[in-house]
Amino acid sequence: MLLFESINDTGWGKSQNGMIRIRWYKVISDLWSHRTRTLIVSLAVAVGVYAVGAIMATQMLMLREFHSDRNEALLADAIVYTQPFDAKLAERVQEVPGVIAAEGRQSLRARVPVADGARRNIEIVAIDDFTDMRVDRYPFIAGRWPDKRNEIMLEHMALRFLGVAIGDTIMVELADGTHKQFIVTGTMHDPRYPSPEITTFTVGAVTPAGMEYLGGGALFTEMRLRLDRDAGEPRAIVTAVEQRIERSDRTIVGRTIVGRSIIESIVNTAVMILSFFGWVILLLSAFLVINTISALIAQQVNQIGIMKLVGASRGQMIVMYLSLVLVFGVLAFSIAIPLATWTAQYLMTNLIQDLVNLRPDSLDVPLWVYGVMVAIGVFIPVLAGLFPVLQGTRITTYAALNELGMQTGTTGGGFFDRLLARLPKRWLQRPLLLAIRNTLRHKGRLLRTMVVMILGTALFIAVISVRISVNTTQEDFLRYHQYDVQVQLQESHRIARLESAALAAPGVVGVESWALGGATRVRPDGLESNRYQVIALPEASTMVDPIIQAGRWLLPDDEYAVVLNASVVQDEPDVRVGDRITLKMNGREREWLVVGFVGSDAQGPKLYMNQGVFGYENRSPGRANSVQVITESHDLLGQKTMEALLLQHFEKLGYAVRTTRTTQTLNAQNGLMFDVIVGFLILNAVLLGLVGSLGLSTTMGINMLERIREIGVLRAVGASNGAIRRIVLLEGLVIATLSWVIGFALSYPVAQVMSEQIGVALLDTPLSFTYALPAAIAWFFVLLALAVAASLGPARNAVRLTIREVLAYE
Amino acid sequence: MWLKWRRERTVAMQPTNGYHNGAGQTNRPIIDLRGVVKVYPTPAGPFMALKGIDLAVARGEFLAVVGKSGSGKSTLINMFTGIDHPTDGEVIVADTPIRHLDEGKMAEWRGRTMGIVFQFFQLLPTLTVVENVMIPMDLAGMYGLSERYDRAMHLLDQMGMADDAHKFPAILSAGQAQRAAIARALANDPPILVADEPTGNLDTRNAAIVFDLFMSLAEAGKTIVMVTHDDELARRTQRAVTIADGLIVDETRRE
Amino acid sequence: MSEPLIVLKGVKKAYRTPAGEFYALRGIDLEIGAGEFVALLGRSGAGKSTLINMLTGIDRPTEGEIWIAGQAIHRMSESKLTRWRGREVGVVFQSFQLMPMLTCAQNVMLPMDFANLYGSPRQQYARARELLAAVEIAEHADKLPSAVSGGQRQRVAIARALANDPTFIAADEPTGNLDSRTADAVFAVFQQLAAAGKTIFMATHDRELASRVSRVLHIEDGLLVEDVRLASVEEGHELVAEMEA
Repeated sequence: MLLFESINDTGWGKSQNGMIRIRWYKVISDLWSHRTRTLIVSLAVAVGVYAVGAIMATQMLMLREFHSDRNEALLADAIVYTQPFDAKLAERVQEVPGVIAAEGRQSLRARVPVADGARRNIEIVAIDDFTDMRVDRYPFIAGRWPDKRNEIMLEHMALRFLGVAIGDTIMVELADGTHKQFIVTGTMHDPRYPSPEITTFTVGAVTPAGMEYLGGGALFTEMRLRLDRDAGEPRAIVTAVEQRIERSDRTIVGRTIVGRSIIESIVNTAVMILSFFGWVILLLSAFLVINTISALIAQQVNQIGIMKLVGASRGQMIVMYLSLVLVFGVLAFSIAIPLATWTAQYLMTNLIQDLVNLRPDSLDVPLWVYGVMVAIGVFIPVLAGLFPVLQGTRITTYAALNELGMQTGTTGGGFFDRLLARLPKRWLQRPLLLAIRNTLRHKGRLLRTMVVMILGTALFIAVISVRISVNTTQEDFLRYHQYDVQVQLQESHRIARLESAALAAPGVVGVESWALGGATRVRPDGLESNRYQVIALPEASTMVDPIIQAGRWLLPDDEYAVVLNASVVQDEPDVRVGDRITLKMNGREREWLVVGFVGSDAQGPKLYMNQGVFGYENRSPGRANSVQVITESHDLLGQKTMEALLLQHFEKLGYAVRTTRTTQTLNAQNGLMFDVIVGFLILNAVLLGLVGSLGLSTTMGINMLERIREIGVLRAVGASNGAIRRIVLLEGLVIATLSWVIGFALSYPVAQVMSEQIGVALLDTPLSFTYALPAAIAWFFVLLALAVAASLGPARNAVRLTIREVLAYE
Repeated sequence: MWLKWRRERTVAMQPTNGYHNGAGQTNRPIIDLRGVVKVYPTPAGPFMALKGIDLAVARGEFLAVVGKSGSGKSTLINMFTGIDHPTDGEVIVADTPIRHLDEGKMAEWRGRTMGIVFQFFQLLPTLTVVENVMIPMDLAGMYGLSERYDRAMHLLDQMGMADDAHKFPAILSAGQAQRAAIARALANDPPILVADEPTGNLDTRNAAIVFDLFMSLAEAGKTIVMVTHDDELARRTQRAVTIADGLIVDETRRE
Repeated sequence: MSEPLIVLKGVKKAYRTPAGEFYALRGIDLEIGAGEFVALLGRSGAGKSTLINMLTGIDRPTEGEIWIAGQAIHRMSESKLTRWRGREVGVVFQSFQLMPMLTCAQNVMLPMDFANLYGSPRQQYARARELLAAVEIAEHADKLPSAVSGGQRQRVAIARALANDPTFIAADEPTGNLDSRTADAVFAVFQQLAAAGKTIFMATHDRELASRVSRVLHIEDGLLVEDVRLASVEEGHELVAEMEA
């Protein structure tokens, strides 16, 4: 029994007589001579303090830097697309009530060839005056702003994405296939987008002259707006802005109300997970501390008796024991604070910063977080210790000296006891009965241990289930992309020609053509939605395998029928299956019948319809602008090779290629988005496992210590080493099994709720739930192993005890 | 029938280099201590608790060991119950030289060979009275599974405890608890009963009841060794030895 | 005769047992004067410890009155009792009851610390050493109790009982765990204390030792059955012989 054995070398004090009051010698030697116990109790507190501290620090760092980045960037609340305009119109728009700032921009998508023949997407924006960006400002990082037409400023993460450095020249490839050279003058920060690995594009900024050089004209086409949300509905303000623009004889082409960005989703989900687990772990560690401190007091009953005997008042003893407990707290936060700080900073610099694209100004954890950790470190043990200390010092001198307080466990009247009394006496062997009854003897302690282990079990299984659900969800996303390589073209082409062109490429085994377009919904109040991507599929498409959430999938003879994916449903909450909605496509409004809802593919809101009616509406019957190809090899490398090959193939045949992508990169890109979340989930699973095993081993230790005499008695009535070991081990196994069974029962609903919450927070749709049954079973064996490990020490010591020692214990 | 079986088991546990198997030699003392010395190391130097004890207890004898606290009588008991080992000398109990058994083996052997009754009863608090009586049978693997319960009830009935069989020890009076403890000591029908101050925690009336139980067990043929510092009780046994400062200083026999 | 130091009037003590109320003391009337050395004889279970617990305020009577140095012990609250005992009573037990983590001297200092008596820790230490010297174990002052023998531990316990210079000393089988030579030596310490004028009340079942005190009480099943004042050791031996018969 390492945990509570009495080590008689105080190792100090002899030369220090007369330095401090004797009562403090007792407190200090209680701490020092039971170093293992001191360490374990402190660790139990430290786990809780660490969990809350690390989580709070990470959360605070992340939120602080996230908001400071975004505040610095003066993000646009809305963008109105219109015919070319100059700075004067922006000034006039700025006078519209509710508009804080308005700035004209023009942007275009282009590609940059990188090593290995691939091309990377870039959004190039023309900025009128780099020193006075009022909306969607790009904070400066390094180098200098461009001032010549062939100079470009890149988002700092673009350097790695494009494989260039400041001062290098990059080639920008335009939609029509022409190339323009730019010199990279420096880097800036665009906090609107996470890592380009997730978005698959990066951002560059040029002067208006540079935009003209790219063939875009010197004027602006985008009115970027910052709105005063207190002044009214953003959409209403935008409508006022549009009316203002229309008065200058320009037509409105489209508009975007900027919603929650993917970064915000990641940050908010992470914060949600972190806070939930932080408090749960804190609660569990408090339970552990209550158990150990109650046991500590129970063991000190005789000493309390002696102190009362020689005149110690209750107040004096309460102060002594609370000081003892306070030391556990001080040790705990001394361990937890540096670890928590390190964890927060490590997560920030190694995980969050790059994925979320944060530029932290500082990694200093706010002082008040340290304050909270100190407070929790002190409060948990004192609060947990208060009851046992008050109780322990209340007993009479007589009871304390005779250790009547030790007999805290009762067996007799309780529900379990009555239940157990019904077990068949003739057949259930007493050693097993003894183990079961001993387990149930201290119901409070058992309950706290079980709560720790049950929650540990339920949450551990839930966390792993979420992890697996993330994988399933990723697989589900790919059900909308059942091909290997996609080649999108600038123009629509005859389907027959496209497909024979694709099939002519070596390694292509299957092909399907899609028509991609866009549409807005005209809502009942007359306002228009953001632009949704339209995917027009051939009859009986084999490359979309939808998960129907409501209604049905498209039928070959459907005409004005549309299927909405979950992201659209999220944006248009009033729409039901069977409704008729007005879609505006190619400038014309039509009534469409909503026939079904399908799952999301994490690539934004999408409308699915048949190619026939799409071709008719867009005046492009029999044509498509995207070729999906199935290749011989489906792995990442194979797809990458085919992607480059197909790009060259189509360009050689004279097609203007807009963009290409492979499903493996799509999958990897979706995975990156979950990385932060999965990282946090695993951290929490580890902490939960730690708390659970600490809980079991302290409880077993305490239980054994109280049973030393019983083991002596068992020896006296003929218990062999094996019999004693079995009884001790059995008790650990009973606790572990009982906890697992309950935790297992709880884990399914918990996992379901968790995966739903995380899915909704991150993707606006629940994750595709998969229950981690193998993990649940594996955890059972882990618990059994833990129980055996936790009982082994006590069992070994129990076997070593001779009856003489045990009876001397009297 | 099972007596024979038990003896075979006992024989099987003897170390090969040990004392010769004396099964059947009923005239040999069941407890035989020869020149037993026990020295405890203490911070103040070695302390001789037993200074050379020769003691033979015949089968069926009722022996009282009398002495003051600290005289060495508990140490003496520890020698032949195998609770402690002698520093020097030989201890042979039921034909087994017990110095070669380790703690676990010793416990198994003790479970079959002797029943121990303690001053403070030492009933397991989480088992009912009848379960307490059954546990030595479970541990020794004696009697059939279904037979154990009936045997335990029978023993409790003999002790006048049948009505309390399904109570937990916490709600028994001291006298009842000691009677339950005696029933437990008899569970495996051991040839030897050892009682360490069995009446020390009882009032006069209950002490008398418990002592009478031991008397009737002695008449039924059990070998009983009882430690006491109550001279009056000691006077009522067949034989009494008095220990003082580690030596047997007095011995009386009565008919 | 002056006012007695200790007065017990009709003291009864009942313990609640599952089998009903058990009377450990069934009506004790007793007066003890200052400076007496009283031995309480009786078998285990006769009520010796219970009576000691009544006198020291470790437990309280079910019925009756206990007056010590004019104070009504039976009416004191638990916390007041504790403080009173710390200053006015020294208690010695069979099982020593020392704090294992404190050195011998520190164990002796403990009552002074809780009572805030005898000045600074340094001064308390000096006093503890003096007391340990008085019981002849000054050289073990800085050892832990586990490092000294049983007899030496009991001497530490006696020194601790003397720490706050109490009104009387109560001892419950103080020689019960000791061999006869050590028991004699420890008993001699009590005799010296008695000679120095301390009031001592000692429970024992050792009749030989009991014959060497100034007064012998005999308790049986919760009642005092004998109360003999002894003038000399010879008289004591006679008394013992009488009891043996």
